[in-house]
Amino acid sequence: MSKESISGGMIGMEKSAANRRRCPPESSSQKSSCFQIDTTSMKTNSEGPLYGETVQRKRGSQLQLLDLPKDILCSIISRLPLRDAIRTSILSSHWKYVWRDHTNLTFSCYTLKRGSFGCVVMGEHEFIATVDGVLLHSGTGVELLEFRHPLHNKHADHIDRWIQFAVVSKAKELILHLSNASRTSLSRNMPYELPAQRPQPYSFPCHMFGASEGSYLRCLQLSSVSLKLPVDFNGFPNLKKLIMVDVNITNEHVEYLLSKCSLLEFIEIACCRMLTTLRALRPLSRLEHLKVQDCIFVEQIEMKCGLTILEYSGLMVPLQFATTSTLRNVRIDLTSDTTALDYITKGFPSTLQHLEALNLRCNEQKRAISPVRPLKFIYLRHLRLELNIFGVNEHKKTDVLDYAYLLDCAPSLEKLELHMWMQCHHEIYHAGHGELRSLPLHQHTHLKSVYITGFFGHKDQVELALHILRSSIALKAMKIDSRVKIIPGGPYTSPAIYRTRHYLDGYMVATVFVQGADRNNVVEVTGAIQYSFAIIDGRARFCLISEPEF
Amino acid sequence: MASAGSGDEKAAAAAMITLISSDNEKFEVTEATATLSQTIRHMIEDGCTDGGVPLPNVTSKILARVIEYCKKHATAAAGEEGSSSSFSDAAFLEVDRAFLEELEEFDDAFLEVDRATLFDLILAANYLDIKGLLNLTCQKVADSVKGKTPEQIREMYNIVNDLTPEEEAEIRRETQWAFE
Repeated sequence: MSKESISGGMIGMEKSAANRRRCPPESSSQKSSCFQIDTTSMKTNSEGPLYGETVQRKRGSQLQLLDLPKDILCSIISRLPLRDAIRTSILSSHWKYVWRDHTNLTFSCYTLKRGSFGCVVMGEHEFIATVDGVLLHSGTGVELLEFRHPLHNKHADHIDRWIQFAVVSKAKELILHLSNASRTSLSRNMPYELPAQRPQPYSFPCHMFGASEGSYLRCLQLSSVSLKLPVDFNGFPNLKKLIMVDVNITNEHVEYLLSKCSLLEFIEIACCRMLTTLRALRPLSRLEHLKVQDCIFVEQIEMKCGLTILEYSGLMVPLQFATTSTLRNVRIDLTSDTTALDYITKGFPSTLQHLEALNLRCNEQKRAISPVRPLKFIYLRHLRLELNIFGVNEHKKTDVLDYAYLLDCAPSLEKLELHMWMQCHHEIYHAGHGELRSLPLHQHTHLKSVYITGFFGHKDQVELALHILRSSIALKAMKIDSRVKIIPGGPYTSPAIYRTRHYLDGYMVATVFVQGADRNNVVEVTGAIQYSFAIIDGRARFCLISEPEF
Repeated sequence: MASAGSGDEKAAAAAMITLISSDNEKFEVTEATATLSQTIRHMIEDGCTDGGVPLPNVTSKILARVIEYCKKHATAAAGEEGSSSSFSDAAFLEVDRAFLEELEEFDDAFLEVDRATLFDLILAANYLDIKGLLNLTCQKVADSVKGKTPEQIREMYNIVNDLTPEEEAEIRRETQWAFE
């Protein structure tokens, strides 16, 4: 049965829809004439079954789902998981083939099996047979092809056929995710996992994409495959989005690949163990967003591009871009030991004067060295710091109060988030502890919102909180939570009872010393539930229970 | 392209466009609201909106609802374009999130309509080429089908099963896994 017979009386509608689709939004000359034809013919209704007329004719009876234009029906069916879409084929004879116009072919156990809260298991052969069966019936208007299942090079014959289907159907988006490992487990386990233990990854057949075939791809997402480019690689001339996670690819091939994809806007490279240098010396003038994560052997990143957004996690490595004046949002998770303050004032961020938002995660082992020259981030509005603060026994070498300097650095700062994990000797501030230090107050006129977590009630934490509270004249809310919000790479090992003590201590200290000093009613303390508060013999008595973890 | 478009919108924010429904009711809207419809945007660019834009496929009842949607989303349009490239950490941009939540609530309430109206909205969104509204309404229909048995879907959308038991069995056999 042909597709025409499915749509029955809708052929006219199809035509008008196709007309509109055929005029590309880029070409303005065509577009205008196309629309004029559209409107005039609809006004006069002279040209037969235009869809305006079709719809009105049916108005008498109620409009049915199948009366909708074919491209809309196709859009609706494409929003269903494949399993649901295919199940519509037995609704009636009209519905038999509707699902075949599904444009988003996502193959994963979640779209193929009945959803039963994640515990769906599918064998390799079952998965392959299902994919083969569906592709056999699918048409050419596919937008997205997605395969998510742990498969390896021994399944190459099958996967090659699927990729061939992607080439032939001119799919715009191809996602090949051949591992069931989560991102976190990939980044965490990889240094320890010997390559020999893993089955040989599927080798992605770049050679299948000829000069014209490759041009249909807008988005390519590869995970747990290996990638070698042929010498006469044609590139993906229209590729805008490239994501490679756990891909075996060498420095040279990455550079070659990037040189052949000049329209890229977004690049994500994560957990690629073979990479030591990430380089793009051919300009990527459209690139806006670069994300490099957990490529543990990367020592250098050098790209000819002007990014807007950069996300990086890994060791502190040289980051070189053609220009950094365009960078607005930066998120960096450093796994090496560098204090955040040092990194902000002397490292890569210090070169980014136009920064608007900075999200930085660092391990603090020692105090920052006071910067020599005053630094100003005059555009910085959002600052989020995650600090793992270490110290052996009582010899804590860090000083949280140093971070008061950031208020001077960033005069436009509106929102400050400070997430701490004090992994050092626990000593809460009390009256016998000596006087609280205070720094000279410079009025900060923009800071409106402050969020501090991991507040254990250490002296320097109290001092910093008070400094921010007193200097920020526009402050609307200061939220202090004693619980640790940031869970670093490894598991949180300390026993719950130990944590509870920190949380209760922090809550108490924040309540007495910070909230107690708050004249504008902006401080809110959380992390424990206070169910009784009394002053007995002039001393405060708290009865607290801890709140659950974040 | 996106930034140039929003710049134009700002420059012409005061300009008003008259939309005329199939039953000859006139609606005056700002250009920023009207240009959520690509069809109207192109007509404006071609300078053929003087004397109003006749929309012979859209009744006043439906057009009023479409305009309600466009008004709400016109303010959001600029923000939406930028949000795709913001941090994945939602907590970092709480302001945007609150705004998007509000928009989502609006959309949910907007979709509380009977089936016939929903289909009319789909057709209007398709004709006027309003991508957001088309996505929203199509998703609503898709969600109503998701997870339902064929019998439930037939009942919901008045579909008469004209397949013989043999035909049905054959279809089921072809893609057996989907019916297990």
